[in-house]
This record gives sequence, structure tokens and C-alpha cells, in this order.
Amino acid sequence: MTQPPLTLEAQDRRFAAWLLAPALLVLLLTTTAPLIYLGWNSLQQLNFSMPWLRGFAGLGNYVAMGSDPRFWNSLWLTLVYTSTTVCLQVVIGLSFALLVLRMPRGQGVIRVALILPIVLAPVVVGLFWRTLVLSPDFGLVDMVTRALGLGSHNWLGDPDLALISVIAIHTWQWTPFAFLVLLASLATLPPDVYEAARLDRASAWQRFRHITLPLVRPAIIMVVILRMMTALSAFAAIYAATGGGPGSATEILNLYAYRTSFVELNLGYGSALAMVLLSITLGVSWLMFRLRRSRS
Amino acid sequence: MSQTSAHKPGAVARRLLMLIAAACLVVIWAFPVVWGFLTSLKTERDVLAWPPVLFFTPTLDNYRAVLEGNRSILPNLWSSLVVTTSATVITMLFAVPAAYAMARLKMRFKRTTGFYVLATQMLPPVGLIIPYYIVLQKIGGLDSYAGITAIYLTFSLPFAIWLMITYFEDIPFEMEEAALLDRAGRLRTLWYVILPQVRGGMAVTTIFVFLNAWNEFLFAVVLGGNTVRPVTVAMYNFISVEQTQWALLSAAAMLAMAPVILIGLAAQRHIVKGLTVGAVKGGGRR
Amino acid sequence: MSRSASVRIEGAVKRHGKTTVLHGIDLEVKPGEFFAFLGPSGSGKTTTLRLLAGLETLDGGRVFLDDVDVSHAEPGERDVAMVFQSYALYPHMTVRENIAFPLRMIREPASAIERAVSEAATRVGIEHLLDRRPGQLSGGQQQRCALARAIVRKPRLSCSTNHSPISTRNYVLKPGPSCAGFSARSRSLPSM
Repeated sequence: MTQPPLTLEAQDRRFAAWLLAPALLVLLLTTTAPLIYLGWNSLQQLNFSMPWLRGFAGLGNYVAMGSDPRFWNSLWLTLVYTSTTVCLQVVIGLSFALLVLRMPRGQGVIRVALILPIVLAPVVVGLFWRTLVLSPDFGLVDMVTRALGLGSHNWLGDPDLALISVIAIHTWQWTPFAFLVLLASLATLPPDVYEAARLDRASAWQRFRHITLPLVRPAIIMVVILRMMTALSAFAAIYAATGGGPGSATEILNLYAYRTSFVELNLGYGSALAMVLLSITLGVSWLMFRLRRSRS
Repeated sequence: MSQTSAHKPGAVARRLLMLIAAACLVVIWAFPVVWGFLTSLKTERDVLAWPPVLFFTPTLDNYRAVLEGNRSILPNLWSSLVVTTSATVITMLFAVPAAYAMARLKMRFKRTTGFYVLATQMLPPVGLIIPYYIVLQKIGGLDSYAGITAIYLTFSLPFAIWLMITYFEDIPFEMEEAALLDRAGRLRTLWYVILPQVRGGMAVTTIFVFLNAWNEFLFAVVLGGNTVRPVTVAMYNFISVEQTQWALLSAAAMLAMAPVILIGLAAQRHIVKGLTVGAVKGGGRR
Repeated sequence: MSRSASVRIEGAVKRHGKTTVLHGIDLEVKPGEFFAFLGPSGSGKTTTLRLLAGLETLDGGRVFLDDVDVSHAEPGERDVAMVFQSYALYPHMTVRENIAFPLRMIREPASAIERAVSEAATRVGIEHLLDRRPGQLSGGQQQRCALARAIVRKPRLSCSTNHSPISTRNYVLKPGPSCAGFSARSRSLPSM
């Protein structure tokens, strides 16, 4: 007897393969191949400003990183930046969501107001804050502080204030995302659980801690994951606002890699820095992925 | 939330708090944009006035300066349009079938492919820009639409696949079996039965992909040049070391963001739904 | 001109993972017969029907329709129709388009489709609902729409995995809480 035709499952698999292949191919070509090349370059000495210095460097770039204070500074800044903005986004977003949850009207107006920061380009937001909001003397913030008698400050030019300002910008742009997601999640919570808790004489704080928080936790985790990814690779807004400065005051790892590669033209070292950032990002996302799966 | 008359004062306080919170939300997040819009209508002198001028005669001079003459950002708007549209179209063409395959059909290595797609979504852009720059520079592909569109795909494609998977997963399996029994075959099943049902999802995904591409900066500024110069890069035309031309910058920013703002306002319900769907079921760049 | 449709299952084995659902069943249905499975949930009624339709593959044994070995044939090639438990109506199409779909897929001419659709719709009593969408129909009407779609191309075998009674003016399938039934008909309608 001749070979029986393909089973249904086998046909399904073949059809799926045909549908998936183009996209996978594109992904492999556009992302994986370049990343391998990035790794290869990180092992090279590649400096466009000193083209005579070429050759295999092995782990030399990585070793140099270890004793590079600017690198450790950027790691530290990345940590502070990411954790602060994500915490702020969740706390502010959740608080506002709780406050506004039961509002009968006006949710439409709020939605319109909040969708604007999300759809704006980060570079525009950065430039905008740099000029209209944080400019000494003429910016919104300075106008307010001057009116309040707190004087004028160089919000982006002062090394002590720059990081705060930059965190504020990122938080401003992305808190609406946290707010909208958490609001949607809160809206799906069943009201009868609260009725029961009320009957059990639970205070507002207890109701929040023991009912709301656990139920909304999956949404919070998801928001944290997403916002963390964005914060780790945040570039345009900081670049527009401070360029990484003053000095290295806002030079998160992202920006350090960029500056090294495209301002100082040391692409070998820049590649190594980017590899470190890549590992951190992949590590965090893998952790988060596992965290999500273990909870659901 | 039931209120008995005994709780009246508490209810009033709560309502007041609600209103204050709502007002804060609107002011903090909408006001800056409104302020920027107002600035774009002021003369440069009005902008720098202290105390700030509340009533002023609006002028369209800034917009005119930004659209006509040698500082026009029209070519940049066109550049943005070309890059964004190509990236969006190519992304959707590849992503929709791929998402269908991953969501519906029984596949080997489903989990690995799923993680691969998720991982590519999480890649930091700076990690990609370096190899792209080196390669494109070698082959003279800098400042080309092809090169830029290719790198735009790196963030659009995985995201689109991931989002579309959530939409495909909502369709019951029996739908496909019925179509197979109706002798539709797999391809026709996809075309006649499945795709019409995810039209809404495709629209939302397209919107997100378009938004992300339009707003891209890093890739555009490093790999672009004089031919390929999207509006996001063109903003810097109005900033120099000596001074910032505030009103012009505001006008340019308003124009650059106009498509994105309009889409955002028009599709706000869909966008919010897309955000929450994507957030609950899987990763996403935004 | 009626065709006979006979069904024969020989030693069908079906496994889901580690569990064996069907341990080698034998079955024979003569043309024109109505056959109903009754049994508790999990006993393999739906699995057997899906094997007949071709929606599941055999792990052993063979299936014959009209004495032809269709064990590995595609679902579409077997000329089997099915009314699914969830009806599986296409929500984006009207009732008319739903019923017409199987005929459209075999590229019947438009006039023939038109005739067959109204015939099937009338037969199950939903001819007044042809321009509605499934979402606008009641449960019973959806059921009849699914039925019409199943019979419109006059299949040689139609199955139903419904667990609730189906009754129309001319068509009565066995009711029952745990029942999956199918009818192997001759080509002449509507006798059951």
C-alpha cells in the first residue's frame, strides 16, 4: 500500500510553518543576525576616530568596563531611573485609578486628557519639557516656583536636579498607561466581595489591602514588566532633555552606549556596553516571564 | 457603592476628593500639551514675557514659517509618512499570518517560538542600532528608506505578532472545524472565516504599529540623513546652541504630532482597549 | 435518484495523550438509518463522531464510508456534515451567507445556491430570518441555522454533537441529555 496522505495534524503543522516562516525569517534577519554581529563587534577593537587601532580584542572591552567609573555610574543611574519611575507610575496610577473609579461622568474627558502623553513621541516630550516646562525663567515649573517664592533653578543643567527632572519627564509620559490599565482592571472587580467585606466590618484600608490589592496584583505585575522594559530602553526623551548630561548626571547605560558609539566613535566598546544592557534586559524579562507564569 | 443617608457627609467628601483627583489628572496631563499649543500661536516676544501673557493675539505666522520657505518641515512630514506607512504595511502583512499560525494551529516548538518573539520585542534599540550602523555604512545603505524600514520592523513585527495572537485566540476552534467540513480548506478558512472576525483587532494593531513607527527617533537620527529625515528628527532644526526658537518649535511639534494626536483622539476607546488587552495577555512595547 | 450511504468502523482506537478514549470499537450503520449514541460524559461519543467527520485522526483501526476507506481523508473530502455543540455559526455572515457557505466553497453557480439555501431554510423553518446575523437569533433559531447549513449540500452523512433536542417541522433528531447522534441518509429528503 502506498504511503497514506499526511494526517490532519501534519497538514496543520505544514500550513502553520508556511504562514510563520516569512515572519520568522524577517525577524531572524533583522534582529538575531545583527545581535550576533553586535556580540562579534564587542570582541573587537573598533574605533572610527582611531581607525588604525583594529583587531581582535577578546574580552578586553569587558575587562576595561570593570574599571570604568563611567560605566558603573551608568549602571547605578539605570537602576535608580528604572526603579523610581516604575514605582512612581504604579503608585500614582493606582492612586488616581482608585480615586476616580466610581466617578459617574467625566471618564471620557479623563481618557482624552490621558491619551495625549501616551501617543506623543518621546523625543517631542523631551524637547517640550526641556523648553516649555523646565527652562529656567520661562518654563512652567520655574514660573510656578518663582511665584511661590522658591526662586529659579536650572532644572536640567544642575547635576543634582537633572536626574530628578528626567525621571519626572518619563513618569509624566507613562503614568497614564499604568492608570488606564489599572483602572480597567479595578473596574472588573466584583462589587459583592466588597459588600461582604463591609458587612464583616472591614475598614477601607483593610478592604484595599486584603481584597483590592490581591485581585489587582496580576495587572500590577504586567504593568511593572512593561514599564520596566520601556524604562530600560528609554532613550529619546532623555537625549532630547539633557543629552545624558550635564556631564554624566543622566547618562543611563543606554545613553552611555550611544555616546560611546556615535559621539566618541568607539564602536567596539560601545558594542560591549550594549551587550551588557542587552543581557540585563533579557535577564529581567526572563525573570518577569517566569514570575508571571508561576502566578497565573 | 450604596450610600445611606447616615453617610451623607462622608459621601460629599468622597465626591469632592473624586473631583479634585479628576481635575488633577486633566491638568497635569493635558495642560502641558495645551500650553504647547498656545505657545505655537504666540509671537516670540509674547512667549518670553514675564509675567506670562494670558490674553494675546494669536498668530499663524509660526505655522507659516514652519510650512513654507526654507525651514519647511513638509519634506520631513513626507519622509515620516513614507517610512511609517511602509513599515506598517510590511509589518501587518507578515505579522497577521504568523500570529494566526502561533495562536491556532498545532505546532511543534510553539513555546520556543513564542519566547523568541517575546524576547525580540524586549531588545533595547541601542543594541540594534550599532550593528545596523556598521553594516549599512559598509554597504552604503545609510540614509536609505530600505535600511530604515528594515530596522523599524525590529520593533513593529514582534509587537504586532504578539498583539494579534491575543485577538486570534478569542475565536472558538469549532469555527475552523466547521469551515473545514464546509470544504473551505485552510487558506480559505483563514480568509473567509477567521480574518473578518479579527478586523477590529487588526485595526487596533495597525494603529499601534503606526504610532510607534511615526514616533521613532533613535533609529531615524542615526541611520537617516538628508533624504530620510522624519519629523521627529526635524524638531532639532529649531534648536541651536545659541537659542531655542520657542514658538517655531511649538508649531513644528504640533504639526509633527498632529497625525498621532488625531488618531489618538479618534480611536481612544480602541487604544485604551488595546492597551489593556495587550497588558493582560502579553508584552508590548508601549 | 438516491445514493446509499453506509458507515462502517473497524477497531477504531483513539488516544488523547496517555488516556485511551476508544479501545477498538466496531460499528456498522446501514443506509437510511438513524443512529444515536447514549452514554455518560467522557465515554467517547463526541470523539467517535469527530473521527467519522475527520476532525480527529485514528490511532488505529479504519473508517469506511460507502465501503471506501476514508481513515485518512480530509474532513472536507468525506461529504460529512456536522452540527456542532456551539453551532459554530460564522458571526460576521448573515444566515443566508452561513447556509450558502458550503455550496460557495464547492463553487456551485449562484442560482443553484439561491435555490438550495431557501429550500434548506424553509425546511427548518427559518426562511424569514435569512438576512439576520447569528447574533440576532435565539438559541433555537441558531440551532436550526446550523442544521440548515449542514443539510444544504445534501451530505451523505450528517452528525450532531448537540446535547439538546433538535426538532424542526420535518426533521426530528433524538433528544436526550447525553446523546450524540448522526444519521446516514439516502439522498432523498426529508424522510428520517
